[in-house]
Amino acid sequence: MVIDQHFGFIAFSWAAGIIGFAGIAFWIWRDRKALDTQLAELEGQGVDVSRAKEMS
Amino acid sequence: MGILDYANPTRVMRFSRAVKPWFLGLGLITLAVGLYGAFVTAPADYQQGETIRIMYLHVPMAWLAMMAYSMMALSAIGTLGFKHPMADVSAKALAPIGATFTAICLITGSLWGKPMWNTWWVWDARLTSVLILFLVYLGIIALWQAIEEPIKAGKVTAIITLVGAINLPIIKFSVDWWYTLHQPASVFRVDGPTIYPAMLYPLLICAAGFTLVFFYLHFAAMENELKRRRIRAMQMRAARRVAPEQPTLPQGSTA
Repeated sequence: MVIDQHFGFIAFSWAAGIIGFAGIAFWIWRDRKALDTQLAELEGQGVDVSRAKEMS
Repeated sequence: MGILDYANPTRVMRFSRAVKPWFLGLGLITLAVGLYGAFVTAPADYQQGETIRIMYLHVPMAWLAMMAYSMMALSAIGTLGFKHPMADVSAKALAPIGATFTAICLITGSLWGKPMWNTWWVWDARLTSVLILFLVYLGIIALWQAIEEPIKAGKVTAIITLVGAINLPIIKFSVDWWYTLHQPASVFRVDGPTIYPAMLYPLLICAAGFTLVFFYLHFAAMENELKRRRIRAMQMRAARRVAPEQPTLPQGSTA
């Protein structure tokens, strides 16, 4: 690939793509962590969480 | 047993856990091959020069943004027509992923438009209809957040999703129906693709890779949503056990 005068546009485009993918993957991962924390709290309260744990 | 009966939460989760690593692994390998093609073997365009490299991201994002919404519309039919429990789980999981892909499509389109059209944005039919798609995605996400009860939220968002689906053929055919700065379709055409094969194959490989990663993200988000619903049900059962049975007040009472 030859680097021409439009390299910045190409680089920013792919950077936006990488940030977008990383962002949505991080959001899903953070959501999962938050749900696991809620599950641990429920388990601590003596609730049977075996059915929800099937999702882990 | 109908095919819809197979899509119960436990079966879907078992399937999801089994296929998710394959989708991610194959997706990343396919993307690596596609990116090699896009940046190394594919030639620069005779008119657009090196900026054509943006196409290998922009075009798959546009396709997937529309595919995600089409899947949401099918899920909406599943929710409203068949009351299927997995339909609104799938739709809710799709919305943020579709919105992200639409945002990437809009940003990369703008970054491609500046050097080629000498403008970041024009209010032509294609660009405006994709912006509307993005706003519809945001509206649906907001609606999911605003309504606490998942079944009610599923029904309301399903109706809005089906109304918003009118936008899909408008996006697809906007470049044919109106005069637009955006170029007409060059891959999915009745008379075949008009792109040079050395550019077409890396584009299709990139699109396949992004599609596999998209399904990985969709399965992961669906697992989260199912877990959220089970936790909610457990919290409600636990709350009912803790709180003594309250007498129900007659309707209209202000006490």
